[in-house]
Amino acid sequence: MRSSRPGRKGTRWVAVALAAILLVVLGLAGLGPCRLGPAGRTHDYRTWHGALAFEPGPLDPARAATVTDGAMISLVYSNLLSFDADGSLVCDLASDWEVTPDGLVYTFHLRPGVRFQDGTSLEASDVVFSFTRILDPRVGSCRAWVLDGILGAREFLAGQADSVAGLQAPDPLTVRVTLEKPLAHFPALLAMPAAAVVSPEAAARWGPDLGYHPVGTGPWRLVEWREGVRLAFKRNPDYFGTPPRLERLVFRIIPDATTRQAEFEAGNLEVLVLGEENADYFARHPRYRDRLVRVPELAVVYMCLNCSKPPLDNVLVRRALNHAIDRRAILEAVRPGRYILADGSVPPGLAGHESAWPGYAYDPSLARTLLARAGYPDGFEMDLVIRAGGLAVFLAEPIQAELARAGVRLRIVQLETQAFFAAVGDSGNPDSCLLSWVADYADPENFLFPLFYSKNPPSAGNTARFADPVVDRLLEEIHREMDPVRRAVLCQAAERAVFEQAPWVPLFFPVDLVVCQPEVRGWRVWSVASGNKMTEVWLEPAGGEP
Amino acid sequence: MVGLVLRRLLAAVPVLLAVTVLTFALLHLVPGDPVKALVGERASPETIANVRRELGLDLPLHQQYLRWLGRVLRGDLGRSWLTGRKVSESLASRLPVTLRLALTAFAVSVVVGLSVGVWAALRQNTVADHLVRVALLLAASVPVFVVATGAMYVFGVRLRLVPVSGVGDGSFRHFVLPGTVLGLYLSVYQARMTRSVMLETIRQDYVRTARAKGLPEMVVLWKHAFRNALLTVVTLLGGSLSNLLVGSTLTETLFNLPGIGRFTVDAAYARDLPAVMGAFLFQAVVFVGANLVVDMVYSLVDPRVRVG
Repeated sequence: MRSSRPGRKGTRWVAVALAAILLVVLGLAGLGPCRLGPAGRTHDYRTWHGALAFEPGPLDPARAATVTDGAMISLVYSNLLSFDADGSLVCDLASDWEVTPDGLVYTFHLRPGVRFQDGTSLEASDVVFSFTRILDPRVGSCRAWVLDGILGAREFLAGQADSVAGLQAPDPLTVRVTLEKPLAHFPALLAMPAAAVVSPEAAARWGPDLGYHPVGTGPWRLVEWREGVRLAFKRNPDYFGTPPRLERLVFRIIPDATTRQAEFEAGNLEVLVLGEENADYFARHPRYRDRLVRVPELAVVYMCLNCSKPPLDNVLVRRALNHAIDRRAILEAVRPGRYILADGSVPPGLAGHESAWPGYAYDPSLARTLLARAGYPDGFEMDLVIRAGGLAVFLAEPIQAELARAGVRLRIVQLETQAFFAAVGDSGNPDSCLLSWVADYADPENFLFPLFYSKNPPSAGNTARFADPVVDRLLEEIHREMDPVRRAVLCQAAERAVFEQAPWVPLFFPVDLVVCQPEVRGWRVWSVASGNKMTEVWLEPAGGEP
Repeated sequence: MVGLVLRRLLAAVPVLLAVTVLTFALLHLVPGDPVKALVGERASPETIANVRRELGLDLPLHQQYLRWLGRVLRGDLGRSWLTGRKVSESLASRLPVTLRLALTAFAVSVVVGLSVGVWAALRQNTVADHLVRVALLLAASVPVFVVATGAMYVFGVRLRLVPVSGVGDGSFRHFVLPGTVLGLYLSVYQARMTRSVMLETIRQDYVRTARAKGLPEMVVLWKHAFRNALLTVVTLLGGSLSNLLVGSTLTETLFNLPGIGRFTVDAAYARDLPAVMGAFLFQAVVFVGANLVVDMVYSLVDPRVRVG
């Protein structure tokens, strides 16, 4: 049955009325013809537009937990030493420094005439204050480990002392730091965001909110922070170092990768880090294909094997797994052009990178032989815990297929981030998991020691539960050895000693692919992100374009 | 009316309490240690113990909850573990974003949804009706991120009619695209519902009577049919409005609008207890409030409710 047709006139009136309402709404929403204009780049060549994937934590050295936190903190503050673009140590607030031959006492001479962004002068006591603050149990800093090698730091951390015995300021321009025992990489720790120097006045004034009102001696001053929206920095006219070439930095918080890409293509962002989904697109893009930069990261991605849990406690089994997986084939499929095959833990370019170590070649029949020798001719079953989303699942499935051919039945357990870290941390005990490790400082120690020293708990890096007395001794020696050449030899020996035991199936050292706008000049990716103070980069009209 | 409001407000108290207890319990049931996430790698056991004590996580669960509740009753939602910001300030800074998005989307959805629904109902079983129904089905089946990304590229990147994403200076310009996408999405459901409700009403005896009386078709449709259909539609609209007001996470994330939805999801991922509790409490209040408003509107539209 067909319902009777209503009068046309009625519905037309309704349609007109509704259309009018819609127009009013859209008009209110600002789509009025007079306000219609381009959303793209305003071509202000003095302001840098960057994007952050998530909101940084407070800009407080005591709270610097992520790489992003560190990158923002190093814009506002300065350290005694800092990293240059290649990750080498250079002087920052210190004009020079020396260390006693026993490696215990460091003396730093400060640059004269340095001023905080609030106008007060920097003195040695401010450095002592900043370091003490990181170790103060009342501050509860997550980064106390960076400085806990200083003499008396542990007592102070535990609330058993009123000050840190190893921190002294004999005169306004001299800082003396005494260590409990030699720590050859200590200068590198001083370049970390946690060791940045804060203004004591600001710390007293703002207390727990210091991170939202940061006062340092760095090249940039935080001028705006709209939660979830953006952070804006202005050039610090009193900066003691090379002044920045730009006037302003604006970092917008854009969590979604597709949105970041759209903003970049609209000309609203200067650089874009590419991922699995858009690397090909930009490699073929006529405007951008010549603007791609390949950047090796100081990081390693690996399949971690639990050396304390059968059957993986058997070194033959672990070696078999290494031989069973065709890592190059997997990576060529998953990350073509954006990886360096890893045979160990230390990335190329660092002193300990062991180029003579051959690694484990892909050899499925050898893998089966080794499994049979270990007493598993028919293979076994094990779990691989991975973090949901991102690259892990693309790696895990081919690994599963490869291992199946050797008779190892891999169960992939996919967990959300927090659950993942709980599962692979101290309370969990997974057979294996996919992990990555990013360097805090450019030193092989930053890989070898946290990842393989037997006394480090899984949460501190030793997720493989690796324990080997020879490796432990070598790692302790690396801490003591002050001669860089001998130290590099020790690092190489340690790396080899570790990987002969095959605690991991090392996968790759990531290579980032970054694309930048044609207007960007003098820009590069720093091997340690927190070393980049954004002073060398500038923008100018691209040649031939309006 | 006052009685109704009072009764509803009283009934809301146990609802809100239950929501907070459940949220609190759930947060402690899911795996993952918030402290580990806060302190990062390589933190010493002393540091972890210090942070745990500072956050009150060393207390028994019921004491932790009561402590939180006590603070809330004094108007203090606490500080986010992750950012150290006051949760109330974070919510306040995000509310305008969600509000603007919600109102734009709601306006678009009501205008489009109701008109398309009525229009299709009056043409039941014609080619136009079939086309509209198929189109609505298709539209409802496309994931919002596909539509959102497409719209962003076409209107933001290529045509440059609107900003690509973000809130910019907070002007409404930035809400046109996300509001329209989200609104059109909602309008699909509203159109389908309006169409079926209208079809039902049109067949009622009182509509036939009205026609038999010789009333003009306009009056029959709007005074007799549409007004009665509105009852069901208003309930539906109330539901979608309260859904919009607690934040549309996906749209907020894609269009980079830092609203309540994104705040809640970020907090949940980080196991940021004060932030999650604050966000859920806020959402529960909005939900209860929106339902109350719907009931009040209902009683305006339908005199029978007013009497009862």
